Amino acid sequence: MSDPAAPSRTALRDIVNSQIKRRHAAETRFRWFGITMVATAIAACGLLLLSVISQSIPALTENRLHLTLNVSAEKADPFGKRVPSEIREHGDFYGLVQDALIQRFPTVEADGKLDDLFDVVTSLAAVPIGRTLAQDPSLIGKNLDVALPINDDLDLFLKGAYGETRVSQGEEPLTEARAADGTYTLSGGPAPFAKPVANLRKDLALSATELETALGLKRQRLSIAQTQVAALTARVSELKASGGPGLAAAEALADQAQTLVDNLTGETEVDQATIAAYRAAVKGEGGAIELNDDKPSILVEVRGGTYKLTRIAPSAAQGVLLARSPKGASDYVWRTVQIATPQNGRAVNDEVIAFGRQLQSEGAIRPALNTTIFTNSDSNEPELSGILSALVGSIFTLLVTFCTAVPIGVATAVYLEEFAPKNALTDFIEVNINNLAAVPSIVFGLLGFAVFLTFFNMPRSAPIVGGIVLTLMSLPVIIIASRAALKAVPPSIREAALGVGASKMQAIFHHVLPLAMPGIMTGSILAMAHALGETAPLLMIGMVAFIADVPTSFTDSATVLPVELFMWAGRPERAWEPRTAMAILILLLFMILMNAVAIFLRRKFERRW
Amino acid sequence: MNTFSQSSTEAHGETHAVQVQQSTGILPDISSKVRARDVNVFYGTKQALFDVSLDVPDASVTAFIGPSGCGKSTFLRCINRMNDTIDSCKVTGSIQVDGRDVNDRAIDPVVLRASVGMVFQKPNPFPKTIFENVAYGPRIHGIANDKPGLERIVEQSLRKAGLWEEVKDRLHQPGTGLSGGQQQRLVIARAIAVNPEIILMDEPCSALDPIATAKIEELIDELRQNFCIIIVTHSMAQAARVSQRTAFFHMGKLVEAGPTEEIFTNPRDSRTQDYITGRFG
Amino acid sequence: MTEHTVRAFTEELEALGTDLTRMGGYSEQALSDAVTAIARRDAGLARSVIDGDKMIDELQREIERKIMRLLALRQPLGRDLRQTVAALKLAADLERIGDLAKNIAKRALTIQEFDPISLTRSVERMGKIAVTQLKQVLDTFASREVAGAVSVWMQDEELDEHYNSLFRELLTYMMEDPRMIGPGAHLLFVAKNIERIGDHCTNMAEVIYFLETGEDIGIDRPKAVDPVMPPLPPSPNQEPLS
Repeated sequence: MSDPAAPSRTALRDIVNSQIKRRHAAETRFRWFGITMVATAIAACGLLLLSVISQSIPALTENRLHLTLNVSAEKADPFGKRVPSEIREHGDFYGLVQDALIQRFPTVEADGKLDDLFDVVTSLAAVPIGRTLAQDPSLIGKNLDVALPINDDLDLFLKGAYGETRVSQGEEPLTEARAADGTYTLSGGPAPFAKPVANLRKDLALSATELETALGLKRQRLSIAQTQVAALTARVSELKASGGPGLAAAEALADQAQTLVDNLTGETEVDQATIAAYRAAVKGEGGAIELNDDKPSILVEVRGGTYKLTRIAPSAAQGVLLARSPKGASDYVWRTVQIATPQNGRAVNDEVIAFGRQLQSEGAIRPALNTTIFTNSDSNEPELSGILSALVGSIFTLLVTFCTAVPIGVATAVYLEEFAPKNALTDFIEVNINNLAAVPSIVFGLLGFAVFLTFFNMPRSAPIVGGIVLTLMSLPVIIIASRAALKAVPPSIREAALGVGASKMQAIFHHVLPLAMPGIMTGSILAMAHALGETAPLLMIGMVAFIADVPTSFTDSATVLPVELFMWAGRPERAWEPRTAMAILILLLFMILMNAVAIFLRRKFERRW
Repeated sequence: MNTFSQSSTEAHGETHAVQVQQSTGILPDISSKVRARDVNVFYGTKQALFDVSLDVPDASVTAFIGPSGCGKSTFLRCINRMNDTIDSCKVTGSIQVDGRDVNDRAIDPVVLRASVGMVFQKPNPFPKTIFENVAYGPRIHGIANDKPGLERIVEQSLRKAGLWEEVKDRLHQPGTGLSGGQQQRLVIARAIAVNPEIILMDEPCSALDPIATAKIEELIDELRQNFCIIIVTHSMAQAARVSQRTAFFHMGKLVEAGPTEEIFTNPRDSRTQDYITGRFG
Repeated sequence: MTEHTVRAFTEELEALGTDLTRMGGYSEQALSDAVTAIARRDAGLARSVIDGDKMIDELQREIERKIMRLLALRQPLGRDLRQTVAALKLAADLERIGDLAKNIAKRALTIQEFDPISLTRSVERMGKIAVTQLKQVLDTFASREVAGAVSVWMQDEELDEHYNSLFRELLTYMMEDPRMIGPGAHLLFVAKNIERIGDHCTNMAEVIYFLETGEDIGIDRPKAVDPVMPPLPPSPNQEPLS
């Protein structure tokens, strides 16, 4: 039958067809927008990971000094009773190490470089020796092989963290001539040091240019500071004349500014001198270059001895003897070592480097996988520090959190969802729970401090207090996630259970809860992963202390991984940087692991209904 | 059947509603399984049932029919106190099962629901194994706790529900893996596993295809010899096929109740007539 | 009464009623014409009645087909069910009435070969009563008034009495004059047919009563004493024939 509307059907179709391109275009745009956003997020994550990983690479390995100690009874057990506690307390284990080192460099005392040699290994590194001997006193009097982590700055240097170190071999033999004042002259062949001199000139030119750029900036700052001083002095005199208030404050400010100006002026002068020296050295064609601690260092290693050069020319060089070892070199005649950073710019001096390089070439210093970071607790020395106590502290704290937050949270969610009457009080509670989820975590820390530490006098910095604070923080998240999971269970399941004659509790625990389990578990584990990374609230309850011992109970003082990270990041030594990056990676790994567990458990317990 | 007499010529008019009212719901003998008197149900301030009085005999099928929202499901759910799960629901009047009022404080709804089973519109087996589905009720009520006892009950119930042959080899597979009709029979097996006296069915076949529906109707036919069955249905054909007595509800009131044959060939109330002939709305 | 929500259902039921009414009209016309043919010795009229019976049969088949369709497709309940079943029975009754009218017309043709008899007038009178009855029943069907059905149901007695008296008269006639046996016998058959038509009308009245009220009108319809058959001794369970 013909319909008056029939002709417009084709018209309608035309309209739809004409719009279709625009609609597709809108969808495509939206899709690309989404892809771009996701790609940006992934790129950002990737960048983060890349930067952390690249920073942590030096911490992957540690250089260790392998020594054979002659465990003398006098040093190890002075009282001679072979009682473990006395051994630990009174033994001089570092002394054993020192003896072993001196054995390798017999002339070190005569050369006056004893302190530098002992700088290769810190005394704290010898403490585990004491533990070993105390456990097995029969080792006393025998030889003991040990592998000790070396000084962190030397370790960093050997890994190349202090800039380029150029090593060039020499072909013709070198003669060492000793002068009266104790310096040595090295010569041999037509131009043995031609290449090092050329390299040195290049380095100096580069450094001079860099210093000039920095100097320019410094000069700018100086001029700004000078104008400030002028203004403040004018103000002071004005106030003096008018007798107005704030005179003392103004004077103080003026003094501050003046000090700044003085410092900057001094620095610029020093820099200027350095640049002048560099430029002069670079200019001297064919001539000798004087070396000092402000210029890059050049060492010459020959026949088991290392010289630090004070003057270098293509044909000959002069220097002082740093280290001498009976073991000669076998695979080279002599070689120059050029260290780009001047000694004044590093934390490790040339003597220690000399000893370190010698030991390394003898095979006494070898790199190994950095297990110290996992087996040791926090320490003042970067090379001896580890995350063990923090890890254990984290685990204990999380355990407390898990055992309190999950039962309470799930039970609350069940109550609110199934049993609570729908009245104003319940609404009030719900609103507050949702708000609590948004409260800054540091507020919980303050709460913990005020209530648990001050009012209840609980032990400070203990996992139990940390755990309870984190529980308070995680509860809202767990409750909200569990409620959502419970709401998602269709009411037909409840009705079916009730219809068979189950009581309300039976219906919930036998039927509803198992079906809501995946959601509840996911929520709980995510809350735990979040709590793992919390720093601020735990800082408030004192978990920022320096904890050297692994906690053994819930009431021992402890710290957690993120807090330790925070502390390590604030320490000045350069060696802390790679270790902090490594610890960050460990923390990230822990979190990924927890999320993986969450996904696995969720898949396993997911049931189709 | 009335014999003809001239004087009743005037009495046979179109509407009997004024005279008959609710009294058709009440049976003369006192042996009814379920006796409801003046039942009113409120959801908050909204009243859903108005003074419903009805008797349901044992060992038979009674069908509740009526348009959507007429209160038949509400009344059904009063019998096993499923309305308790709704907070705003208030029930007045008396509903007696075997002479005992179900709303009496001394009666625990959990125990009541063991003797008044329920089958719902959408099959809702537990997301557990077939065995667990049927064994759950007997286990929680303490009817059987040992494995052989439970196995026996499970087999009996599945046989009675006509499902045993189809599932005996996969008792430990999830109940949700069965087809719709099988699931509904599983639910019926679950309901009869605790040996109830009354089985309430709320539109049990509305989600099923005709073959599954026919199987369920055949099952109902068999079951009615041992149980009192009350079925709420939208399909008048089904009510006609399956039930011995039918009650017609409209807007919360019981309009007419009587033998199924009478209701569908010669109903007394014009509203019933209009409903069954499709003259409503 | 309100319409069915599905309008086609109402239309089908109404179509059924219309067909029945039409069929009733034909049957009524056939009866009336047959009786007239007997009275006026009109052969043409008689033949038209005989030919017209085909249409009545055709209509009955049509109605039955419609009823089957209605039952299968609409599953009528309540009054609709009674209406459908009633239509089936009414159609059958009307078809029988049509057949009987055809038989009367056939006999009318035969009677014309004989000389006119005075008793034809009685037959005509009886026939007119039957026509009235049929008309009344058909009116009742249209008006749905139960009282009409009841009154038709009661009138069966009157027609029976007419038949009885006509029977006695014809017997007397035939006994007195053997030449009357031929036409007399035919008239007897005609009278019997008319009486049968009356019974069918009574059937229809019962059906219409059931349709409207859902109940049977009663077990025993009032009957006149059969002149040939002696009254049966009353059995202990039955009411005596009134």
